Amino acid sequence: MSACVEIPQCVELKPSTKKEAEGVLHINVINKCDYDLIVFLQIRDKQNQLLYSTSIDLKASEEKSVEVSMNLTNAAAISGEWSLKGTSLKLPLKEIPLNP
Amino acid sequence: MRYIPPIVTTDWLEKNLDSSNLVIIDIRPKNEYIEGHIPRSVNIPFDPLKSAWTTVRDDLLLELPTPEELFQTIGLAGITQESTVVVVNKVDTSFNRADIVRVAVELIYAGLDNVAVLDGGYNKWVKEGRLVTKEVYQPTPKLYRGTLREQIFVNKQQVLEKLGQAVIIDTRDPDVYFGISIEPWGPIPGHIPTAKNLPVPWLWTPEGLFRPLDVIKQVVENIAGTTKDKEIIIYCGVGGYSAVLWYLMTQVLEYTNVKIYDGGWQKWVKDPRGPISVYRWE
Repeated sequence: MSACVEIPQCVELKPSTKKEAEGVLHINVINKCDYDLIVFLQIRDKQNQLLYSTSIDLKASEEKSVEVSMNLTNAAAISGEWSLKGTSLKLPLKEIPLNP
Repeated sequence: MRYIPPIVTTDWLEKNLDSSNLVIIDIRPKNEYIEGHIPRSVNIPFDPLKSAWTTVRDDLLLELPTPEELFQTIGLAGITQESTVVVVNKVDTSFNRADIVRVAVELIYAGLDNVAVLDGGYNKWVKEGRLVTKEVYQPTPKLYRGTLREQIFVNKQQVLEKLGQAVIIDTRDPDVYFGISIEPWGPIPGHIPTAKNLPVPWLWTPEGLFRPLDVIKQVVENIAGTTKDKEIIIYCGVGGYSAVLWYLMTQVLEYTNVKIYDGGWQKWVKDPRGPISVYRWE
């Protein structure tokens, strides 16, 4: 992407599943910046249909965990946007493919 | 009145390190500053979203802090009107390089005259084996109040009124200027009609030094002409690259009537949207 300013990669997403809890996707959402954020998460299928969405408030450097119950074989990617709290400018999250 | 060069070398900085009125501002993230920095440098990190140098206002990125906030930042760094200030950053990317100059422009906007940027940045200083320290420098705070140079910046209405009269220069990458790529905060392709493209990243060598000044002069003259008092308006996406070209044109090449449209493309495409030229070289 061409740009004239470098936006810090404030949000890190770490998805995981556990053998003992099939059909549950855990997503650790980490704020790596020194200011409060709102993260808008989406999970889409291969046809780009929305399967799940949520928003998460994160304080500076805070980490939260999200649990999503769904048929994971349909899920194609975690994507979404984030905003600096108090603004409505939405910045894209780095997309994470599922079931690549 | 400027009495230091606008772009200083590592040699210059080392020779002047003990000067009593020198203030070095290191704008790298705090963790990088703590790992090592130029002696006596003050850490005031730059972050395009939220820092002492920037704010998001009306959802516009890289907006100036209020004058009071800027004066306070300058005063806390121990800067007075008599100070010579050198801004330092890493120069790994064109963004890092632009951030240095953006801070220098803000200091000039705040009324300071003797502001410089370190060519090659902290990278060159370290590569040359010059002295670094982990000792955090605590400057003596000063009360700073300057006279704002508001004439540096123009707003959207002023740009609209100058279309077809002033030389307008778009400093973004060519693919964004042409309309092939977009930035997430300016999701409509194209550029301001009549704007010429001078991609600011081309003005640095791969190592992050400014290209030789005769080269920069030729590049600028081919776009902006040689008349020093011609009205020129510079913009980019949100105000980073435009600050670099403004600095080079006014502080180095002595153009006298250059302005920054700081809202840049992000503001231009917001309602009421300005006219757009797309898929076209002007």
